[in-house]
This record gives sequence, C-alpha cells and structure tokens, in this order.
Amino acid sequence: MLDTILKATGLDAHACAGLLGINPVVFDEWAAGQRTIPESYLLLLSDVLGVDPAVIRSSSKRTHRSEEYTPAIWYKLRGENLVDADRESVLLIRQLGRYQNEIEEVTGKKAIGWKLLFETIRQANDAQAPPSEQGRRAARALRESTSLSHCATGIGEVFRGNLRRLGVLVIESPIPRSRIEGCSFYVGAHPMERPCVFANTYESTWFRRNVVLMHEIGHAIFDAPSSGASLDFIDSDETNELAEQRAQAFAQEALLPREVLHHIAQSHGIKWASLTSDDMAVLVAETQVEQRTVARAAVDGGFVPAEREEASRNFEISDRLRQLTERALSTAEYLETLGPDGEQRLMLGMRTATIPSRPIRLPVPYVRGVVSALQEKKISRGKAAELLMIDKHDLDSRFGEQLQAIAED
Amino acid sequence: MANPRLLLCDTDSLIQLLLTAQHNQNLAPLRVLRDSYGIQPTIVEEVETELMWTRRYGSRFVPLLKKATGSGVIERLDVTVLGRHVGQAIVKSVHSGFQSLGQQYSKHADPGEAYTFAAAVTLGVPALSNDKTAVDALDYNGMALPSPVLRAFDILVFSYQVGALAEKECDRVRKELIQLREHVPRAFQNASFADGLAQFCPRILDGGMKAVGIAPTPGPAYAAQILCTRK
Repeated sequence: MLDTILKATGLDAHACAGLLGINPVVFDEWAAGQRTIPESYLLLLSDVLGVDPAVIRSSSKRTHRSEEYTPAIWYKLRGENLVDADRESVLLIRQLGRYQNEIEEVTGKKAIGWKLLFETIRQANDAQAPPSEQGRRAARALRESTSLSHCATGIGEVFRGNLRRLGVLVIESPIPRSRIEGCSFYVGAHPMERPCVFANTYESTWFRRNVVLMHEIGHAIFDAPSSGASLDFIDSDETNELAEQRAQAFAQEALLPREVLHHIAQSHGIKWASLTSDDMAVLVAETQVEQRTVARAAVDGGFVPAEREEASRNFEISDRLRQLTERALSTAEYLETLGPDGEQRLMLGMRTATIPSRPIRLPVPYVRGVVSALQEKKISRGKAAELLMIDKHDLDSRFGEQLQAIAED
Repeated sequence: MANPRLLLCDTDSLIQLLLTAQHNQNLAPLRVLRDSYGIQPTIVEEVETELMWTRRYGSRFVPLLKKATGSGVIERLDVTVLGRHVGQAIVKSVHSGFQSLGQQYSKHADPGEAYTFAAAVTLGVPALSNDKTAVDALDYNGMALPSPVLRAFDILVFSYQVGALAEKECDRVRKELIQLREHVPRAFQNASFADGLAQFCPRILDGGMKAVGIAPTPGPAYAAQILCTRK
C-alpha cells in the first residue's frame, strides 16, 4: 500500500527515503510490499504521512480508495504553486512534530495549553461577524490569555516562546526554491496532534516573519483543523478570501493593537500628521513588525489617513532601522554584536539536521531540550541523535563538551 | 549454565565488526560464537535497516551484511526465527510483547537499540551494544535490561581467548577503530590490545580455557560475566 499512498501524497519514494535516512532500495522494497516494514519505521511513516499504520501495511490496494486514507494536507500540497521542496519540507516538519511529542513525553513537559485556548477562541467566534472583526477578537483573546496584552511594546521577541509554551510547534527554516512564505497545519496522530506554524526564512526579514508566523496562528485556530493545511505564498495577494482577511487581521491585532501603536508613537514623540521616514524606522524597531503592517495599522487605528498609507509603506528606512535594532542587521553583522560566545548561544551550526537529504533548522529550545534530556539520562545518545536528525558522530562533534560528563565504558 | 542461544546485536557494535572485517577474518568473532558455542548472532529488523544506510558510511555495509545473513552468520529476528526459539504455540504473543516492549524502549533509545534490547529481554539472552548511554537511559527510566550487555570489544577479546583471532589481528582492529574515530573502551584507547586487556574486564569468556583480562567485580547485571562452554 505504501507506494499507492506515496503517489496520493505527491511524494517521491526516493526523496522520502532520503528525508528519513533510509536506504532507497530498502524503501522501494517496503513500498512494493516485498519487505516487511519494521514496527518502528511503520509508526514513523504513519505519523509523517498521517495514514493509519494498518493501512500502510495493508497489501490490498482495492479495499481502499485514495480519498479514504489520504490526509487533507497532501491534497493541498499537490497544488500547482507547490514544488517538491514544499512537500518534502512538510514531511520533515511532521517528523519534527512527532519528535517534539516524544521529547515532551520523556521529560514530562507535555504542553497542551493551545487546545483550550484555540477551542475557547473558536467557541466565542461570531461566524456572522466580518472576517477582520473575527480575527481581531481572536487576537485579543490570545493576547489576554498569554499575558502578551501586558506588553505596551512589540512582542516579536517574546511571542515565539509564548506559543511554544502552549505547545505550538514554531519552525523557521529556509526553503530556497519554494514560493511558500508560511504555512500552518497539524502534526502528530490524533489525539496527540499539535498545531505547527512555519515561516520560510529564505530572503525574509525577522520583522516580516513575525507577521507571517502570527498570520499562520490565525489560520491554525480557524482554518487548518478543517482544511488540513493553510498555505501562504510569497507576494500573493489573496486578501479577498475570508480566511486570509481574518488571519491578516488576527496577525495585525495580535502584534500591533491600536493601544500599543499609540503608546509607542507617544513615547517617542511621533507626530502622525508629519510622519517621517525616521519616525517609521522607530515604529518598526519598537513594534517589531514590518513596515507594511505598521502602515496598515496606522490607517486602521485612525492615526494616518488611508490615502497616506502607500507613502508610509514606501519610506526608505533600512539604514536608520539598522542603527535602531540589531534585528535589522545581516546575520554576520548580528553575530558580531553578540561577542565571542554569540554563535554558541544561538547554537549556530548546531541546529541543522544532517540525516535528511533536505536540511531543516531546528528551534533552539527544542535542541536544548534534547541535549538536556541526554545529560539527565532520560534518553540515550542514539535517541538524542535521532531526535536531532543527525548521527552520533555529529552529536559528539556538536555537543561533545556538554556531553563529557556522560558515562563511558 | 548453558550457553545463551542468541546474541542480539545492535547497530554500532556491528558497524565496528563490519568496519574491521578485513582484520577480523570476515566476522570470525561472530562465526566462532555460532559454530563453536551455538550462540547465534541475531539482529532485529530495525538494526538491519540502520545498517543498510548510515549517514557516515552510506550503504557500505550492504554487501557484507547480505553475505553474513545469507550464510547464517547473522540471523534476522522475525516471527519464524522467534517461533524456533519460543515454540509455535506462543510465538504470536511473544512477538507482540516484544514489539510493544520495543515501542516503550524507543521513547528513551533509538530504534536499533530499543528493539535489540527489547528482544534480548523478551528472550532472556544477552545483547551486544556499545552505547552505555542507552543502558543508562533505559535503566534510569526503570526498563529491564538484558544480562549481560556485551560490547564489541568483549567479542574481540573472546575471539582472542578462544584462538579465533591472533593478538596482532585484535590490535589491528583496535588501531583501525581509533583511526576511524569509533568508540573504543577506555582500557584500549591509549594502550595496545595486550596492554589494554590487562585493564579490561571481559563480559564473555570460555569457562574451559585460561581466563584473560581482569576478574569481574560485583556490579550491575548488565555488566556480569558469562562463561561459555565449547560445543
């Protein structure tokens, strides 16, 4: 059945084998039913593909039609705008979702706060209200329940941590050949599923990614549970769709509510009537949100007339912004500001998976969690390597110093 | 005490034996266990899958592994093989118990380690594994462990004791593993095979022959020493 399932998902068998670190010949034999899929790999395939293990192992192709077992996400991922890199990245992210569940289970730090929060937001939603109003109300509920509303400044530096504490998988990694800017979907088998939001870091700014990730949270609350996945493309302007309008309003309100914009402008002595490019740079630096969204929020908040929105969006702020915040620096420049141990603190070069044929950069808290579980003897070196999608030699070369205390025989 | 019927082998330790096949006379250590002592080296499907492709060595082990499984030097543990050891009447329940145990172990150890240890515990036979952290993690989390857990060097020392490998060959294996940055027990890291052996407590020996290495001291069951009898 595996070969039929792979065809339905649009994934190539050899690419799939490469991503999961399996000999392609062995994978072909599994797919063709010529070799039994070992139990542990069956469970892994079930999680990453979203198909029941019994169906994968089933030998009869006639008893199942592809619509009966193909998860909705793979239908979405077969779209014209999508390339192999997109499908493969989603497969890897789903694998990471499985591993996140595993590490939380062994460390006893299962985070499921998102369930209650998302459900509360959905239940309180007035489906008759305009989509942007639905998004704004949901964003206010998110800010209040995660104490983000206490911040009178931008939340770009803190919201990822808040979301992760709720159990949301937040991933930022480059997919160079992809047009996907962000997406959201659920990972893990029911009832262990969790929302995952992804932002493509390739040629994108941190300020833009803050908006993208929050936009995807909006989709994860309202759309992904029923549609399988929500995908957003670079330079796409699909704001006419109800779901897009709602997610965009959600992102804007969550990151930049009117009172925060007002407070920041006031505390920096910004006069809206004579807004300058320097002012805009300050607003972007302080709100931690890209210029386009600041300009829109200024109009929506009644600070700037609609006819001046485009001018506000087009202010040249890059030089000034770099003086105001290190978040606007290039990676090399940013590292210089961090000092000699900066690379280590950011775990640079220590977070990219090497087993999959396509690299994926793992979140810092996740990597730290795995290493500390190993130090605390909750998992073995082999398990740590598996969870970090690297081999034991890479594990030793990356974390050798931290692992020296581990017993050797 | 009767010799164990099987030795469940994990990926890392087998990789060391496969890497040094040219120095260990094409898996002579495993052949002697099977032919002279009736101890069948066995792998679970997870280990076979892991050996078929590794990030470091690619598919380098495939030909030798196929040869070893083809000749029966290494046997793959499946329901048929399991049935031979536990009897057809209970094979299904034993197999499902082993799979379920493997799933539990795999929360703390990688698939190869987890299912190898689970099979060894289920069948009450020793395991071959180099990763002390797997033993520690499973032990720390309250999982039963095989007794004993042999290391690749235990097999090497055993082969030396019973005359299957000469000291010179064992030292070549040691040197090559160090060169390849493979794990070598502390006793052998900066000492020749002969000198290292004087500091090493082997976990498997032929009880009818002159002992080598240092004598065992009381310790955990996974570090116990077993004495085998030639068939």
